Amino acid sequence: MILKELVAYADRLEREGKALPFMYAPQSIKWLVDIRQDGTFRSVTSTYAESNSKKKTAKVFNAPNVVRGVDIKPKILADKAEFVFGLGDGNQERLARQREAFLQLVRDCAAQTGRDDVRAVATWLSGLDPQAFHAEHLAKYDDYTSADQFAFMVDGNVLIHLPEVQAFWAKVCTPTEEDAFVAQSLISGDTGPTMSIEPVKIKGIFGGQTAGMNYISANASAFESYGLRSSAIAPVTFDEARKYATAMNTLLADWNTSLSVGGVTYAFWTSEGGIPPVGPVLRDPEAVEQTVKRGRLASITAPPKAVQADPAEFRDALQSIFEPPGVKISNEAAFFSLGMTPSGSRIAVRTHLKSTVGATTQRLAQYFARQDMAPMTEEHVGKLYGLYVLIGAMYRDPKKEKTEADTDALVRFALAGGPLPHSFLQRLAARNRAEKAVTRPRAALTKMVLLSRAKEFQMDEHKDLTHLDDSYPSAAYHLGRLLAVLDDIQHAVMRANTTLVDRFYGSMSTTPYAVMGRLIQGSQAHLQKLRKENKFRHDEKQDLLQSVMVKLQPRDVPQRPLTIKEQALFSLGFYHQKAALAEQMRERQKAAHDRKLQQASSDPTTPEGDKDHD
Amino acid sequence: MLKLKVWSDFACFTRPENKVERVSYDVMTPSAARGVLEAIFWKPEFQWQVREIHVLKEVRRHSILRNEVNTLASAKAAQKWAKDGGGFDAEDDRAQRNALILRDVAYVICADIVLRPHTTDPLAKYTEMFQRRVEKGQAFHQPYLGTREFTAFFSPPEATDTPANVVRQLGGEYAERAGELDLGPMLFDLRFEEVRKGRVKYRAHGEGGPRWVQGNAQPVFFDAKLRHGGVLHVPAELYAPTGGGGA
Repeated sequence: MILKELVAYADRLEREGKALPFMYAPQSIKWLVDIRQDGTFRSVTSTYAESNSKKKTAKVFNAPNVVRGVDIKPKILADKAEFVFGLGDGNQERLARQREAFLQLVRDCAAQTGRDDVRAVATWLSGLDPQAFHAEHLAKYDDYTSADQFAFMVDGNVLIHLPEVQAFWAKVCTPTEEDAFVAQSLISGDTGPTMSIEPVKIKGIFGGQTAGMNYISANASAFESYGLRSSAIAPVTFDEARKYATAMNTLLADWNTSLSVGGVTYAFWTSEGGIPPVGPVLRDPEAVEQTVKRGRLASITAPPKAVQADPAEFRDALQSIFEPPGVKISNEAAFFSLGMTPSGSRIAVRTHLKSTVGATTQRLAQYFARQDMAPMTEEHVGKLYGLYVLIGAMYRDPKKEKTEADTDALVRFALAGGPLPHSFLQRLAARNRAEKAVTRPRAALTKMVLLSRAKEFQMDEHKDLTHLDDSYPSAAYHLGRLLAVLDDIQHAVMRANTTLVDRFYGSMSTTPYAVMGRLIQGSQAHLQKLRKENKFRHDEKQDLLQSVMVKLQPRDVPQRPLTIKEQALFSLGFYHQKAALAEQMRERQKAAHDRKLQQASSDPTTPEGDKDHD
Repeated sequence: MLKLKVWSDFACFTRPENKVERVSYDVMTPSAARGVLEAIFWKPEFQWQVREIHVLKEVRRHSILRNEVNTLASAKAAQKWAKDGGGFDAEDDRAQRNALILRDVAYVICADIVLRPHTTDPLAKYTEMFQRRVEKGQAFHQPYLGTREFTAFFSPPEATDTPANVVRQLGGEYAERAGELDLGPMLFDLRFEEVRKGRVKYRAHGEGGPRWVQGNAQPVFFDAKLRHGGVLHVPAELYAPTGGGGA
């Protein structure tokens, strides 16, 4: 199914004139050898140039491609120095054979195409002394190696771009039917000669071999059966194999149709119309965030924090990103997603998905709406997170962990919905305990997991756990709030090196019954001190504590360790209360700032006022 | 038509193109269904022909990493170990492979027993034998769903065993509206052809009794389509002239 759809995509590229020529692939060619029409040498120039990152890179050309094993297989008019000139450090006898094979291929090309420019190259190569050429033209370059690729130009024309050369190469690469295994193709269902080895390697899989990887291969007896060897285990015609690999390479080479995150590489495509840039949106949803913010600011005057996330709002934002001017996206077109990881030289499929563009947009909108969480700081307002931030929130150092399974689960959730794994909650709770803090990405992910399993966890669908909810029907949630309030009381009285949260988050979030009494008792001393120093603040904190305690009847506090769901709700209660306190603080600071400004403007004799006059 | 319900916690109906790093078809293949039926009851006098496979539960995919070995177990290798006085050390032959499998599956297999030309007894004898065996839970060997690790359980189907709406789940509302979901080419079975110096050696059954023959096995694919919510119909013509249905 996947391969069939990739072949269909390759056909579409060919119809739209976007496909590469047969057995061509993007390749870095470092040197261009310029030959005159009469077969004499003109120059050799480097295509090496500084890129944006100031790293020197060779120019990429669509050039002839071939999968080479131990056998000598030259590429037409663009190859390594080993083939073009027979130059290199390897076996001299083999180098001579490589050069001879390359030259013969150029001669055959000249004969079959009848082109004088190709013949000029053949003439020049025939009379060339490679060692003298190297000494005179290549030795002076420090960055020359025998693995560099050379291509030929005649009168300013790069020969590999000529349609006649491309047609010749297609003919050379098409296998003869004599020795091929005849079977029914698993892609088209037609019976005919099938490939013996994949003709094009797939490149761009994160962590995989740079030379490219195989999709279909069997290199050990355990994978073979019924006497069918190698690629015959899955019969596919040569042309179909070329098409699916080329289509995949095209998708993976484009930032907009691929995504590489957490060790998994994804390719996205559609059956018709433009391909929505799902990869960039998942990788870095800043554009969605900005569009949503702009939409909100245009339609409302209240600050964004007061607005509940609405999936429709995100859907509209996504559609405006998906359809830039000149691109037509069809909502009814099929949308395909394929997640892959490397396994040696072979691709392992982690996930595959088929949906429609419209349904995918809906799911993505839901995914971003679910990320909404009360802000802890001003910068958090409306902030959305990319995949890596969310996955990284579950690990101490995500670069050192195997995050493929989690990445895959989150991408599946973003594109197809369904439940997120239980293991997410365990990891999030463990990270909260280890760091003694609940970060906003962790809170958002916790909420996403709980709501994705709403039925199983008996979650109330009307309560979306975004902001502080005084009436939330869960003791664990209010226990989390209690810890945040007690910490706030301690903070109002003293600046402790090791805070209450540092000491008690772990035990309070797992076995609150064992520590709750002790904490409340301890807070009385803090409140007493506060009462003597600042009566107003004491009353305020006392009221806050009371408002939490009324939700915690002794019978509600479990005398057993909290379940994983309760630990998740504890962390959300803790985060929400902290965020509410932070917001209160921000409002207070803003009010104080406004007062100060007002005073300054009404009293021109103040130093600030004088300064303004200056 | 005979019906059998099978279910399991896991299943892997391996796609041939993803045979090493396995990826399962979303629905049980006819050859896997035949394997289940033959595990319960088979005789050289008849051939199982799978007609329909009803998918009873929604498709749930699950990715796992397993330890596998690289070498195929064979009688020849075992004879060599015996001769050398050693054995097979899996640790030396280890490979970790990813597999995208199915979780929590249940199917109803609808199949016919088709008598071979040399059979003399009536069809009723075999169908009743099969039904008795299913009711008693008897099997020649434990049936499995795709790979032997995924043991299958079986029973006669109940009236409440109806297909889940897999067409909608896998194909969305457009597929549901069309009433059909195209699953693409699916492995039907291996077709065996007797050839001198063939790639495989197998036991053929005919009028003269069983005999060992050499031949070639070719995979045969068909355009799999799910209809009526979640029913895979196996085209009858696949069983026609050249046989099919495995050895």
